[in-house]
Amino acid sequence: MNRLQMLLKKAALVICVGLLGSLCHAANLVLIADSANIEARSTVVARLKAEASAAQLKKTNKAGPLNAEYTEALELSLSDLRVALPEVIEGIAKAKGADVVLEPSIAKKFALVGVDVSAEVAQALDIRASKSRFLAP
Amino acid sequence: MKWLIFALLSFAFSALATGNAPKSILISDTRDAFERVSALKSLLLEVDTRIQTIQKAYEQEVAPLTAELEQLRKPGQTGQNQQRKASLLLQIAALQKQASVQQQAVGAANEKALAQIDIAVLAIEAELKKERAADAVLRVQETLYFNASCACNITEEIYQRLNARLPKLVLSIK
Repeated sequence: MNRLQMLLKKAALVICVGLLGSLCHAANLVLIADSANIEARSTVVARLKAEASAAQLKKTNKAGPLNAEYTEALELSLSDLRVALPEVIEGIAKAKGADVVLEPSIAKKFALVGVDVSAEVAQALDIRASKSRFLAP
Repeated sequence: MKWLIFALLSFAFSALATGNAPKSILISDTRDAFERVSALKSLLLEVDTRIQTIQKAYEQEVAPLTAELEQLRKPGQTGQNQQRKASLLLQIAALQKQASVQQQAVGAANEKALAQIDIAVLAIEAELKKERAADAVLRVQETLYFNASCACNITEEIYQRLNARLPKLVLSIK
């Protein structure tokens, strides 16, 4: 029994030292935002894509993939969102007190672990860009 | 036996801690280096001066040749001047090529000097990483956002060390 107690005490000591060490190690709060995932989750992006398809169908009677002209028009319509993205990310980072926001590929490159905020960013972006409309060519 | 268990436990805990614990990172933002790094400022000035000198020398040498060529192109000039015209054109082309080669040499020397600065910055980043026991050093371009007032921002430290170590760079043109 005594031996077991000693062992448990030592194990507790190891855990305490480890925790102390990790506390002393100035860790940073890292957030992960996946641009591709954000666009895939955004309802505004989905709506603009649907508007583009509908506009193409109406004008050219062609369904399916967008032609070059309509793809360009869609990209132009999405540009507002893309311009707003850094500000949205900054807002979320500040609200969470994070030091840095990274793309998943960069986090992976440096073996950094972070909280994925892609869904929150997509939501905030949708609120901000709710009035965006597809600009027909 | 108990020491073996103790060692295994320590190992397991440390593996767990390093695998999932938040990491310490440093970030450098040297986008305004041309205004903050003395070596870059002096380099920029020297490159500019040298390019202007080459351009000026070229213009001075070409001006009389161009003027003569214009005279020869005026109506009423005889065909016997064709040889002179061709000779002038060849001289102008040779001067153009010479100026272009000189400018390329300045460009190459500039690239070399910039590489020296890059190497120095990398060395400073590695030092700071070691000194602060950080897990990674990221460039601002690798981030979507970073808090500039965070203790992880090592930009000022980089500028200070770089300016102390490499106050000036001289172009070595071959």
